[in-house]
Amino acid sequence: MVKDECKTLLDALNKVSACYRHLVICAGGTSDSQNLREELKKTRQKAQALAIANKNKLTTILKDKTISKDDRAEFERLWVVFSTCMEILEIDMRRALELGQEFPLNVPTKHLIQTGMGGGTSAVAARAMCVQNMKYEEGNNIDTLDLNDLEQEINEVGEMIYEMEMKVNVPQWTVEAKQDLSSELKSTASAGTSSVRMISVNGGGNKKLCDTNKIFAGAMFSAVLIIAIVLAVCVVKFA
Amino acid sequence: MTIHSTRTHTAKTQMACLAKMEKVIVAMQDPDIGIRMQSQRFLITVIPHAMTGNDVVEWLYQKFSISEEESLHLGDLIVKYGYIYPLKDPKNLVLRADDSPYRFQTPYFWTSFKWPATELDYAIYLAKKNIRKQGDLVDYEKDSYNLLHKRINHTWDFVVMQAGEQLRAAKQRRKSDRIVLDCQEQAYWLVNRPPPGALNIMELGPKRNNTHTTRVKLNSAFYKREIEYYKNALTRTRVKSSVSLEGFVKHCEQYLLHDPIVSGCLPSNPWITSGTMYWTMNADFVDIPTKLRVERWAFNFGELLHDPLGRQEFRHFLEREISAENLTFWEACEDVQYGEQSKIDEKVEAVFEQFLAAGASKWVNIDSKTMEKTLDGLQIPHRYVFEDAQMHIYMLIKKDSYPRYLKSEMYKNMLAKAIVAQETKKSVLSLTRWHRLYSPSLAQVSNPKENDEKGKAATSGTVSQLCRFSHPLANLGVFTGTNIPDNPEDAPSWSHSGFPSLCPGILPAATYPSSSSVDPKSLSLTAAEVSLETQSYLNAEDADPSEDKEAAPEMDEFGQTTRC
Repeated sequence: MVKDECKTLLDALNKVSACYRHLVICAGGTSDSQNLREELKKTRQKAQALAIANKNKLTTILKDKTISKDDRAEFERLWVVFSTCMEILEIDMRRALELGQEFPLNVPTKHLIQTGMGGGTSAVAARAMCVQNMKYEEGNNIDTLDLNDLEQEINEVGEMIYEMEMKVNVPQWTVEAKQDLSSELKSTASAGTSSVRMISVNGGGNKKLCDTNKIFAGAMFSAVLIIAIVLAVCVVKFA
Repeated sequence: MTIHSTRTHTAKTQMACLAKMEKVIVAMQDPDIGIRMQSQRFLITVIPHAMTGNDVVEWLYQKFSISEEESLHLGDLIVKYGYIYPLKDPKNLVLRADDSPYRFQTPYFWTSFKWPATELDYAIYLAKKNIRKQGDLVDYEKDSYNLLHKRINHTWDFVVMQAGEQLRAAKQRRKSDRIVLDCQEQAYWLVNRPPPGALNIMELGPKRNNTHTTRVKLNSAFYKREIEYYKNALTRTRVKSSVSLEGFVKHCEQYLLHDPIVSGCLPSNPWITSGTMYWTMNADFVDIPTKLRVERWAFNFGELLHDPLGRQEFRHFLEREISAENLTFWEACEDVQYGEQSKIDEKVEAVFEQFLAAGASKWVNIDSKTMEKTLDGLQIPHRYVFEDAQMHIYMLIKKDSYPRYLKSEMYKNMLAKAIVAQETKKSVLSLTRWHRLYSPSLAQVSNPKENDEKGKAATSGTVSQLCRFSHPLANLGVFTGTNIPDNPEDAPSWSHSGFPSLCPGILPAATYPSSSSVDPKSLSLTAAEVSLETQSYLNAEDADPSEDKEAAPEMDEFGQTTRC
């Protein structure tokens, strides 16, 4: 159905913009690298493509006068979600531009901020692009080359938002959100409670290890080791 | 290409202080001359790029060649503005110069007025936190959350969706990075949405300079203006600072006792104790004025004239001497000068009729030159037409009647009649440090005792007490000295303890036979601490001050000798 299509498109856009924001947060820090810049570029382009798709779909629907009132309300709600998402995307893109300009990667005198992050961001980007593994094709100066493209794309996004506001007349404040207060708590299937908490340097506190797999593997290994030692002792004793 | 921008950014450039801090932060990253980095260790995970507070202070100290104190303060500012966040006690944005760990904030989360933290972002953050902590938010966060739900209700779906997605995206990172991300975000929101009662650095004071409006183009016109300005400045008449400072010092000396902040406010400072006696006693027209007020009339003519009660008294006096028309003329001229524009014509007419015309009822004695000038000016009446005449009469009264008034019986009676307000009884609980310290009454009461015993030629008890901090260099011999190292420790307890309990704290200093000299360092002490010591010293030791003071110079425990 049209509504479901719109929803899936919107979810996809939401996911990509969340990943994009995550990547921009890492820019300028120690997990920054040429790869990150490439990931930013790819994610952003994907986001833009999704945005255009969303926009076209929603504008055609909302321009259609023949839909029912409930449907219209529902599409307006989706429209509001879409336009908020676009706002956030635009701001993140502008910030990415600023950070890219401030922290060029190939200049030896400019150092990245040592933020404590060391790991790669490829998994996040892969999630955004809906692929298993990211492939990095760009050269070594993607960070500077990309900035011009980024500027252009920011302008395009800006224009798109402007167009949206002009074409579709949806007063944002009339939309009522479906989600209630603290509704996110009910749908915590994936978010999980065992996420990271604040850990004191003294190593104590309420630390919960969320890698249960790790513990399980460790327990298995130690069990196997103990059995092996017992067997060896038996062999030695009875041999 | 045309750029459509429906959102204009309010600040084109970063605030100057923030830009400077960013430069400092970037300089710290240099692997050679940057700051020393360590790793933060948990049970299994190791997170690099931590530094101790001590390292920060040391680095600043070396890089900028500043004092330790200043580097600590600078480092503290950097922490408060969110460029470095503490790891051990994250809610407390303070730099400690010990081995407590800190880490740099990622550039996305740097404090900025160009990219202000939006309601939407905050809502997403709170939603994320809500999910992670299963509804266990701090109070003010809960309140903000509810408020935001109401305010941006239309985008709440998006908030929930985005919060979920951001958490899922973060899960793709490895564990140590996730910890770092959480710390970063928490620090960012502590700076941008501080808990109630905490310092809010995003709050700009009322008179901040807008950086992008004071920008100047350094072109030839600008330089021409500068050259003109400095040329004129060179030929300006100047007063030697020694001369002007003397005048300033004289003024301060004269008004020292009358200043409510320095010398205490009797009966009590209304702003502190909320008692309005002070205002009622010093109202414009009271039957019995305060002594300080009447004394102030003797300082200069302006004081007498601008105090309504003083002016009234002076008028009575002049009426007795039958020279009241001068004062009336002066008042009429003031009225013309400060009155309504529309009424000026008629007022000027009236003044002329009453005071200046030949054979007028209240004729004033102005010299011929001024009279001519005034009469000429009357052709085109304006506000300042009587300026010269008014000044002439003012000088006349000042030189003639004013000194006579001060010597007159009326004034002396007024002085005798004037009262000194009694200090209100203070309850121990409602005390604040400042209020108690600034009442001179205790000092006045115990001064006669001190003077007898000391046998010193002090001008007046209060003056010698208070002169300690008005002329620190001149008063090296005043024995109500303090041991300066005592103060920092004692200071915090003063504001909480009642009056009697202060004495034990100060007694150790008082019983030492020698006291430290009042060196310029003591200027940094607030007057509060200094005079409190004075008071309690005086009150505490009734026993044998004489012994203490006449003791020979010795080294006290802080290694400071007296100078007699």
